Formats: sequence, C-alpha cells, structure tokens
Amino acid sequence: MKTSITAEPVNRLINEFSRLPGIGPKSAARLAYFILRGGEHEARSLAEAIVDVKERIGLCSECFNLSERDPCPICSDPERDRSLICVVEEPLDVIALDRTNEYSGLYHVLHGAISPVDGVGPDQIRVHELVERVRSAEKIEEVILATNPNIEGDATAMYIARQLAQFGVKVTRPASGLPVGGDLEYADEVTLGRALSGRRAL
Amino acid sequence: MSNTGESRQRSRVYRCEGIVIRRRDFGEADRLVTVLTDDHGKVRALAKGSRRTKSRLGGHLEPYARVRLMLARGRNLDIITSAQVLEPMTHLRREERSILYASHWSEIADQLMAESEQNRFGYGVLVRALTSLELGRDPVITSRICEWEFLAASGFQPELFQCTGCGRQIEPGGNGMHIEAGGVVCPQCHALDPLSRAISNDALRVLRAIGRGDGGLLYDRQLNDDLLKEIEQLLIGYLRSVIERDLQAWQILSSLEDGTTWGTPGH
Repeated sequence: MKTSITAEPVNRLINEFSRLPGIGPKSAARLAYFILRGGEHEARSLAEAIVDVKERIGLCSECFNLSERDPCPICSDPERDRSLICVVEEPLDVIALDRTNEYSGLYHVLHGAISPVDGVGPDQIRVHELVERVRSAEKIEEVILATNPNIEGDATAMYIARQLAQFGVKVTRPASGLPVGGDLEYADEVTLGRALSGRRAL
Repeated sequence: MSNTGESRQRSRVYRCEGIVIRRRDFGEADRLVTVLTDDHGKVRALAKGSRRTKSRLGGHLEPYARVRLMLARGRNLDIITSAQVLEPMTHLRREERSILYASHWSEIADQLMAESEQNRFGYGVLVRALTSLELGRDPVITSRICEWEFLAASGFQPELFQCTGCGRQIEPGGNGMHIEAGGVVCPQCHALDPLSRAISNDALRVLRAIGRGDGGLLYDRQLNDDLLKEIEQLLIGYLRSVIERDLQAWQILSSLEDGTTWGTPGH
C-alpha cells in the first residue's frame, strides 16, 4: 500500500475543514496549509475562538436565536415592541431584518423550513415552540411570517398560519416583489405577479 | 467512433425543458439543482448566485415550475446559464397539501429516473401530475396514477396478469400481491407465501386501468376509502421496495392526511 506523503495531523485538519459548508477538498487543503504557514499565535487564537463559540453560545429559550445570554439581548430589551413577533428560518435572517431599522419587535427563529423531500417536517423545526409562545403570551397582536419567499418558505408560512388561526392574532407575510436595483425583464412570473397584486398608490 | 471523438462532438452548451425536483444550497450563494428534463433525463446542475435576491436565475428555478433551461457542460457538474419559466404552477404553491404531493412525486422522480438518460415518458408523468394539481383535480387519484407511471417509466411496473410465482393467468378472486416478486400471485401461490399480501378484485381492476392508461377515468368514479387505502398501501409498499428506503416526503404527507401531525391547529 502506498504511504501518504501528508503528515497525519495535516490530513486531520484538511478533513475537518472539508466538513465545512462550501469547502471542498482543495479549499480545505489550502486553508490547512495557510494555518501551517502562519504563526502559532494565530492558529491558537482561531482554535480558541471555535471552542469559545461552542461553549458560550446557546439558544435563547424564548426566540431560539443564538445568544450568549438567556434570554437574548433582543428578548430582554424593554424598548422592543412585545406585541410583534417576526418568524424567520435562520439566525442570520434576524441580523438581515434588524439591519433594516424598520422593525423593532421580537423574533422567533425556526432553524429551518418544511422541506418534505429532505425529510424536514413541522416536528423538525421550532414551530410548536412558536405556537406555545403565542398561546401563553398575553399581548401578541401580530405574527409576521418572514420565511424565505420560496416554496419551502411558503409551505412553512401556510402551515404556521393554520396553526395560529385559533388564537385570533393577526398573521402577516412580508410583501414580495421586485428587488431594489433589479431588472424587470429578468423577473419571473411569480415574482412579477406578486409585485403587481401588491402594488401601492403613489 | 472513439469516446474522445464523441465527447468532442457533444456541444458545450445545450437547451432543454425541465422541472426542478430538488435543490440545495451550495457554497456562498449558489444552488445545486436537480432537474427532470425532457431530453436529458435527470440533470444535476449548478445555479451560480441564484440565492441572491437580484439573481436572474433565482425565481426561475423554483421547484415544480416548468422551465426552459440553457446549460453549459462542466467537468463534474453542468452550469445553468439561463432559465425561463414556462408554467409557474402558481395555484399549486398556494396550498401546503399540493406542495406536499408535488414533493412526494419529485422524490420518486429523483429516485427512479436515471441521470442524463432521455426518458420522455418519465418527464411526461411528472408534467401531467403537476398539471392535474394545478387544475385542482383530486391529488389522491393523481398520486396513485403518478406512482404507477413512474414505476412503469423506470421499468419496475408490477405484473398484473400472470402469477409471478407459477406463471398462471390471473383470474379474479383470492389473489395476492407479492412486492418482492414484482407483481400479483395466484391464490395457490398466495396461500403458500407469507410475504404475499391479499389484493382485492377491485384494487386489481383499478391498477389494471391505470396500467392501460385509463387512470383519468378514475377521477369521475366514486372509489371508496378502503379501496383507495388498499391501492395506496400496495403502491407505496412497492415503491419502498424498489427504492430500498423510506419515502421521506410521503411520511410527512401521510401524517397530514391521517391528521396526526397536521390535523387540528395547535396540537
């Protein structure tokens, strides 16, 4: 059997990097050799940052966003509008929505969307926790279903809307239509149709 | 002609019509898309940048829409260079039950259709099933027709006229369905084999009608729930045996249909 010319610790590092999303074997090897060429301090700092994030970051017990504290800074902020919950698929969506400065309510992170082909049903995401949250909260007036505007996100939103119908809260979905700076001629029929049906008077 | 000669002759860019049956995120903003096409069978291709809101591809690559595609051959994966929706299937998207049925058929297509091998019949099966959903026809009947036709399109159509045990002609009464043997068994073989499960005359008649291409007539007949359940169990069991694993979308769909997971809101 031919012996490997790469040392075992290097192989191990390459294997670990190639488990990351979007990283193939070539990129993993490049990253591993970059670490090898760099100083020990940088390598240690990276390793500590990875361990640190796993040890110190958990899920907020109210909104299920990633946070160092429980409840998270958003859920414990008294300035936030507690009558509004915006439901998103991933923690990164919270950052994107909060950057708009158009929303000051609370969030609920589902950690996925219903995707039957991948075997992801309502039980695999945090839908039942949302239903419980709306059931037990006193003053929730509106739930905004900001799941992605694709077929999985639409299916998830429809399912949640049906689950929340019994509580009498207003359930809304963000408008969907043409992106700012986009080209009308390249828009698909579904997007254009939604943009037209959701048009506003100037 | 040598293989090298053939591959040189293959055009670098090709066009086809297809339906996106599966997709997953890939890299920073790309998607890996599985498309069932009219001329090239199942194709796995990369849609670069399609997750960005301003992508010219994104909205045109939604699952279950019928699209026209242009693809460039790559070393490992083909690259989608342009996509244009032909039939967006907008009604289908408005109901979670329809989305679940479409997912179920897409999963079967993904499992049974071969990569880069033209199968126009298989493509037509999916187009017809999705169009039926779009037209608001009963998805339960459509699903049984679609399941049977996908089995037929992939060469796994169960035998319904001759006993798969002894070869005898099948007559009405006391027959069984032997999934592992690939079709019905006569009463004698059924009695001898514990793996064979009973099949009623009505179920056999319905399956034969679907096999003849007369499945469309079933929409106008009042089939009772027990008969529909029997046919469903036979076909799903058969599909599981062919695919050699559980059907993931079916598990979620059947829990909706049984009302266990999706039934009463809030439970």
